[in-house]
Amino acid sequence: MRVLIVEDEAALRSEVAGRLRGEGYTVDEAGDGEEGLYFSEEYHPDVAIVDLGLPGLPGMDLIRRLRADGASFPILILTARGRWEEKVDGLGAGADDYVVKPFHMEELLARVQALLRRSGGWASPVLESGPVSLDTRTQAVTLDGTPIELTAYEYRVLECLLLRAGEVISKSDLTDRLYDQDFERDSNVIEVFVGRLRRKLDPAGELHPIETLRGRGYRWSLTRTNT
Amino acid sequence: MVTDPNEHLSASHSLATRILVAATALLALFLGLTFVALDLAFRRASEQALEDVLDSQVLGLLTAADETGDAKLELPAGLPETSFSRPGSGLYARVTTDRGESVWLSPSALGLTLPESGNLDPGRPEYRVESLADGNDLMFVDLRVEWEFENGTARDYVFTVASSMRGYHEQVARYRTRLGGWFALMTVLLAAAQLMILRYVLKPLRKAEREIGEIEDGRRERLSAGYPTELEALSRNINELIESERSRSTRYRESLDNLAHSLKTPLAVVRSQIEGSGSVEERAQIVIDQVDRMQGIVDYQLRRAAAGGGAGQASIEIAPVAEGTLSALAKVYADRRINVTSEIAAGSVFPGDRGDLAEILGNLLDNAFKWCRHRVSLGIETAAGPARELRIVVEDDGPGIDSASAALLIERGERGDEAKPGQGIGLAVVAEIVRATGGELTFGSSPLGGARVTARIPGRA
Repeated sequence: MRVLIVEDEAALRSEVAGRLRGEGYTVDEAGDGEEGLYFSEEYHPDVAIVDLGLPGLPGMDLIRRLRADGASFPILILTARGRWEEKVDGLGAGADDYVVKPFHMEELLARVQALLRRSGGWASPVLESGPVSLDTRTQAVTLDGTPIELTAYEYRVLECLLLRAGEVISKSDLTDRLYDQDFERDSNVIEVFVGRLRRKLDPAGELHPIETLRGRGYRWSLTRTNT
Repeated sequence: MVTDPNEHLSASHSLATRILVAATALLALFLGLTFVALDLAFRRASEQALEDVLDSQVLGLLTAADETGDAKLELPAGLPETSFSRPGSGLYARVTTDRGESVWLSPSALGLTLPESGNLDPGRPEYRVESLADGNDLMFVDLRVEWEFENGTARDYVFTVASSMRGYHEQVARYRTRLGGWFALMTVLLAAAQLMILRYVLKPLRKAEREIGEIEDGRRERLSAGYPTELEALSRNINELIESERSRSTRYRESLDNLAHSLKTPLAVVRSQIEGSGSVEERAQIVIDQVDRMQGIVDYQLRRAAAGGGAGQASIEIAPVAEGTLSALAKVYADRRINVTSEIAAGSVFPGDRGDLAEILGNLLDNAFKWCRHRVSLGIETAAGPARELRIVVEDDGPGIDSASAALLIERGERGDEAKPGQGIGLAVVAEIVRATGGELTFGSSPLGGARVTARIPGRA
């Protein structure tokens, strides 16, 4: 999943970005609002973390601009003041949740996960579909209750597909969500990951959880068990 | 910079100067017009007097005139009015026929050329003023009469009397000098009166200026009572502003003081852990706990200090703020499927700062959303009666909270001593704001099954 973080305080930004990367997210770092707008248009993040106290284009205006430009991904605001007036204004401007500075990194990660889940239409942190269950908090995947070992990339592909179960996700979308912008892209790698996932989740070859739509991408085809 | 072109014209921003300039202009106009009117009236009256003199002289001539045997008019050599006989006396007379042939000329007019009379109606005297070659002005009266001779023939004659206007001019000049003197005196008196009135009227303003100066210097607490009606609202507002600023700065000072004191304990604990024994993990955990506690203290004190405190601010309409807060929280708790009901009495207003209202609603509702199972309700009403007490009631169907634990939570929030960061601080901030308005925060149980928190806020008098 791709996260855009817009924060002018470089130390905090790289700390958060590092932590998110460690959790398997692809992260775009922007130091101000203008850069944030650029990344949003260029890389279509799945979620954005926006600091309200930005230099130049203020966070509140950035959110309004993003929403006016049609960006529908969830936005988490960071506020230093913690005043309710500011939180309400930020959420009214189009943000979806807030975290007050200084925050615990776990808190921020949990909020980001929850936003991603919600935008995919999941209410619970455990995504269940057919015999497959994925816990976004622990990144544990089970098949009929049996734990499945996945590599980091395999997990990320599965999470992307499951979060948006029923929707078609193109290969380039998946690549965007797996690699930073400066990474050399090779969409054949995606095919390899999908192939491996199919073998691990459907060893008997009768479930067909991941559909290939030629020229369009992939789709998680099992129905959601809990939402 | 944009400058108003009128700014230079209006010259001064002083009220006194403005009034003085306006009143002086009015006074000058009034006095000028009065002067002109009086001058005109006096000149007319003087001219009238001169005309009356000329009338009586022309009648005297008519009476003195006599006919000769051959039906001609003649005047006696010695007239009762001696001025006609003295050359250059300033009074002249002439009798001509209607065709302008001279019949008689008074000896006083010797060497003078009197201008001809125009066409006249018989029996009606006509007046005119003519300047002579030597620069003297004369006033003339011409009277045309029809003379019936004893032989039965009749003939028209023109009797003309002229008088020098020197006396008249001297009189007018004298009058003008005297009038000017009086007017000058009047102007001085009126200007002085005007200045005195101005000083008297502006006295309360100067008093206010002086008192504000004294407040700045710290020699005075507030503006005194007894300002004129027009300034009463202003002085009251200034006092409220001073009061609110003072309570704000007191609150800041207290916060700073509290902050410094309450940070000392956790700092001491941290210091002791740095030097202390025990495993690194244990000590690190204690330090982390204390950092959380300090963060809580800073949060609480910052938010408390920023609370508006009510006085001197406009009332805030509650409905938009409440709706904004509810829709914001609905977003934050989107995956909880919470059923929210709100009943906001139309026209409810909060007697204070918008930020304070947002803080009360945000914290109370956030708690309700956090603790409820499925239901949250918000009720806002203003009690009938003179007190107009505002009641903000937030209820949920969660586990509920009793007064004692709530009091403990608030106390812990104030101390920054909390189980989880952020818990209790919100409630403590609300309690602080409500207390600052002179109201109270009460806890009870809701018919929904959970907590019922009521903020009672006295309305503004």
